[in-house]
Amino acid sequence: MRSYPAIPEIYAETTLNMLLKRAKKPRVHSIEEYLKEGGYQALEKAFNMSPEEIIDWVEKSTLRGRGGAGFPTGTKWKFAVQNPAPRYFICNADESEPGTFKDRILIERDPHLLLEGMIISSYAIGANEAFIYIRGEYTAGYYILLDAIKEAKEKGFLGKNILGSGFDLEIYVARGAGAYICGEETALIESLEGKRGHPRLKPPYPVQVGLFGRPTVVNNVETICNIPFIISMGWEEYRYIGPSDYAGPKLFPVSGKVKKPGVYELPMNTTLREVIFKYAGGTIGNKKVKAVFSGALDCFSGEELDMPMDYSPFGFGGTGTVMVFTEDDDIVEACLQVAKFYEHETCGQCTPCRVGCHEQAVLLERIYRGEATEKDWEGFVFINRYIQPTSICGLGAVAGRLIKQAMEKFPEEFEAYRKKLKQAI
Amino acid sequence: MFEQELLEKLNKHINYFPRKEQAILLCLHTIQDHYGYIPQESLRPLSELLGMPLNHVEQVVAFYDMFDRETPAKYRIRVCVSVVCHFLGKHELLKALEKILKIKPGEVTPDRKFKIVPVQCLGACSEAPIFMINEDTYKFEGEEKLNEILSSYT
Ligand SMILES: Cc1cc2nc3c(=O)[nH]c(=O)nc-3n(C[C@H](O)[C@H](O)[C@H](O)COP(=O)(O)O)c2cc1C
Ligand code: SF4
Ligand code: FES
Repeated sequence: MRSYPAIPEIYAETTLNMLLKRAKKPRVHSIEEYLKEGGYQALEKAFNMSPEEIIDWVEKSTLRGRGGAGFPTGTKWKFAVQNPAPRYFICNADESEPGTFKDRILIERDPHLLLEGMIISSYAIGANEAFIYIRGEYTAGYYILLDAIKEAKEKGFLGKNILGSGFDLEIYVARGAGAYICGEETALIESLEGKRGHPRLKPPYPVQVGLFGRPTVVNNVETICNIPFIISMGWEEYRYIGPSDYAGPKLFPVSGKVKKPGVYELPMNTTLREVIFKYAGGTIGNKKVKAVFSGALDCFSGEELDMPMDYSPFGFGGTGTVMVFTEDDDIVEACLQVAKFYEHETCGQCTPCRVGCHEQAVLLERIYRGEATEKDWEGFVFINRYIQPTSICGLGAVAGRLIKQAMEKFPEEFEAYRKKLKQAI
Repeated sequence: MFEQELLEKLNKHINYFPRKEQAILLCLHTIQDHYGYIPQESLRPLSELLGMPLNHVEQVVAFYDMFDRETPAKYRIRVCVSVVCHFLGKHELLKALEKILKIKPGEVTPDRKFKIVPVQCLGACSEAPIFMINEDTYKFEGEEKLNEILSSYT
């Protein structure tokens, strides 16, 4: 086997043996191994179904997008096929949210599961050209995908008239170059067209006007890896995995102050407490959980650990990213890192987002250094009021969210900095 | 114009996608790997190969963080400074790098071999702290091991 760029060994564990059946082992699985375990049989089955039937199954499976927004996948596909061909299918492998490293192990260890999912998805929505957009820093993943595509072509799973079905498909791999915003689907499309990653105003949505102006479905890597299971098991059986309204396996990348950080594949009726204590080995030094950040999106307190890891209004949602902080960790310091992330990653297209993300980082830095004035504190209210309603994309919509939640849930931590400031005066 | 070997690689990217302008990021990665940065003189010939205006190429290079137009360096050391690595050892990693290479983040060694670049999350947070050297990704496991890794880049 050829060698790839170095990657650190990420621990992975599964109670379901689905998406991580092979990927729990830290090595690339070849097409031979994939075929030996029943690989590409879902594709054969799919070719005996009509595209409409596949979309119907995906809708009934309750599969929701694993890229953050949790939108029902079947519904998205249904919208896309209402618009005339040619259509495109895009796999979003830009994974750049802090704390998120679940798509990476699927790509690096079981690339054929992703490819099989992409071929079935493209067949369902009637796309003859599909793209994988992988973040520039996932170098090994890029080469692994190129090799896997070559293998799949040699075996007749890609190219013209796949398995005698009359369906043609080419999959192209594009690399990003260090811009988090290119994970936002319309920015991704711009980038894939060879432009800067500036999000487009929606509507029209990509399912209406996407790549090169054509109807386009963008799905996350993990979402796509569910598709072969829905087809091979059938949607009824798939619904038995976890709660029937939020069915299917979910990957949870767990990091921070836990004993066994890694990626865990679990059903969605698992609670946050179980993820941390039953699976990730509990906290380092057995300390109390102070907070959990879901990427740079949400801040939960140690009092909220009984929430289910599902997409219900009171569930954990998002990408499933679990970043654990314990009693000695400074929440203000953590928020400052989040603010710096948004400051760095705003694309700058909308003035309130560009200026607001910068101001937010400056304000937090001043608070952290004990230099903030009373007026500075009011700045947060201002930022939250103006960035969100004026932003073109989801980044601006959430840039102040985690920090606002942290201020509400940990008022005493922020208060302590206020006191520090008063003493200094 | 580009020398033959580089030109062949660029043409391969340009013929790969359904539309040639889609190859711009792949081409820029290849140019950076070749020269150690993106030389200003490479942008016009690239724009001609891609059939797009020069200012479009300029805008793209400026937008994407991985491209460095300023400092040639054989190896770019990208150090994750995001939240998980921040709490789990990025300071020690940066200190060790500064000690071994005698440069600060953002600087390049006088022989133009290494440049330290602070970056956001590299997507391997369970193994924090994380850094990359060009295409390779590593977990920081102490100064001695770091020294060993750095010496393997010649
Ligand atoms: C700022 C921003 C960054 C995003 N980054 C990613 C990403 O890296 N990967 C991803 O799959 N989705 C990302 N998304 C969500 C995508 O816009 C899109 O909803 C998703 O790819 C759809 O796939 P899904 O329905 O399978 O989740 C991001 C959204 C925003 C607003
Ligand atoms: S909201 Fe922010 S990130 Fe999104 S398009 Fe506007 S400036 Fe760019
Ligand atoms: S926070 Fe450093 S790799 Fe994710």
